[in-house]
Amino acid sequence: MRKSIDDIKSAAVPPLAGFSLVLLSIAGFIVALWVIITVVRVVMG
Amino acid sequence: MWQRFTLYDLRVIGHYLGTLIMFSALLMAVPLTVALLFQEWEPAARYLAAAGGALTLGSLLRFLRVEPCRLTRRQALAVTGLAWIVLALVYSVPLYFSGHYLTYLDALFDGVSGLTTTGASVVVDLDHLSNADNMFRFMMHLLGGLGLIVVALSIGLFGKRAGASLYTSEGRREHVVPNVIQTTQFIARITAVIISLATVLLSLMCVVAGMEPARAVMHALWMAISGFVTGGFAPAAQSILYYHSFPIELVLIFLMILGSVSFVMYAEAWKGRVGAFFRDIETRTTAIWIAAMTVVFTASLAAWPLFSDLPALLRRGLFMVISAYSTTGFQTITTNQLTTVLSSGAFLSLALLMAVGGSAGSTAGGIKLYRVGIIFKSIVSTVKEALAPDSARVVVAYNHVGRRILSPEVVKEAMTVFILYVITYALGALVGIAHGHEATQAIFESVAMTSNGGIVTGVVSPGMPFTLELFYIFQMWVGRLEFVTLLALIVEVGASIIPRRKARGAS
Repeated sequence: MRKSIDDIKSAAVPPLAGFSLVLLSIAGFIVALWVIITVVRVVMG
Repeated sequence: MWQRFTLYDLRVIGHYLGTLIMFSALLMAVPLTVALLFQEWEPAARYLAAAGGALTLGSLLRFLRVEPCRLTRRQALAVTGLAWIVLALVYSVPLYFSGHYLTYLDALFDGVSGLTTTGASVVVDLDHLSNADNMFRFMMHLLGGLGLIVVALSIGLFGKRAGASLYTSEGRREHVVPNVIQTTQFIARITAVIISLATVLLSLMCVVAGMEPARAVMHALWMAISGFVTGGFAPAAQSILYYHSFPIELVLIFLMILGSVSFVMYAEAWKGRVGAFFRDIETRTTAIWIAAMTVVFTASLAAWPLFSDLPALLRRGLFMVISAYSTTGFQTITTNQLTTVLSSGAFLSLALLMAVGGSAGSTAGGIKLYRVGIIFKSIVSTVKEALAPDSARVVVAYNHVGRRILSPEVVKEAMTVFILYVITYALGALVGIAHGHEATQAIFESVAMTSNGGIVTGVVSPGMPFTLELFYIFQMWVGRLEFVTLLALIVEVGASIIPRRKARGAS
């Protein structure tokens, strides 16, 4: 029983961790783009 | 001397094309089901008849060679190249009879645009198209975005052995997992997961925005498919502007970026190797490229007196930048506004974004950032060599699924495809200009077609001159297959048709 839970855990953790990191970084990237847009807009008036 | 097709080659090619056409009939079951669910009897009959026709044609072609053996590389190239045009021909038949197209060529344009995930449409009165026809357009996107061959391989259509040469002939090189069939199944699985998640999310948003539930679900599904495979068809004539919803736009931005990330990167993330994702030459080129182009685009908009103080335009600006970069072709600016409201600088930035496109091994089109990265590395290597002493051996490495050394073959491939794209962009622009269109618009449209971007400015419209339409169809086709498959096919066909010259000294 113990072993099967460990199996599931080891199978599920890398994909979840990997995907959430990638999604987070894309979200961060979109936010960064927003910041760039705002900054350029302010600078250019 | 060029190799010719023998009769045996043609029979084998015919067999596999027949298999693909029969499989395409299967796809028509989806719009048929939708038609039955929504009680649209006329489309239901149309798709039933079309599926029957495709099955008949497919099985007749299969009789050309009853027991095919393994495909050679040449045959695989021909099957792939022809499959894209033959399927478009088959698919445009039920579309044409919907009565929403002025000519059969218009329907064919939409068929090719759908399959190549370009997303430019010449449908008339899109807002009143039946659910079944709409579903069919987006199924074409899904099939074409993943790749006809990828889908066919993933369900084991060609058996276990015919795969490898077919797979590479569709502009895909990377193998996510060693086995081709498993790779294609992985691609299909990732797509299914992302599209279903996005559909749920978008349906909720549509319902909140006040749509009736059934319609909301359909629109959500269509947008999710179109966004993730970076297609660009939209269920409404005004594209995404129709929804006037910022949350929906945000989800679509996310989807489009996800769609333009290479499937190899998904595999790396799946294994938990996120480091590989961030070190990859493509990820880095992408980040730099989009950031730089966003600055140029915004600066150009901000300096423009008309709309510089409208936050809405900047929100749309970001959407358009991502839509162009991922070669999706969703629009939150109307076709008319593209040429009248945007500054010409912002307009050309969009064209450049489309021309370069997304990642190789994703569903995005264009030159691909991987190639741009490789070419940049090759410049670095050239400069390094110029500065290094004669005895030194210059080694430039890059990260793409592991650390690799930049080799002349890789650079040559990247350069060749790059140049072919640029030539096609230029040729298309000339053809557009020759038809009396404004130069900037002709360039934009030509880029939008070849890169499968699909943001249009009005040159592509129902009932356009058939010469221009044919050339655009050709552009979409070569752009999706990344030239090599197609050029090889054209040369082969040419060589097979032209009579053999007598060998010198034979008489």
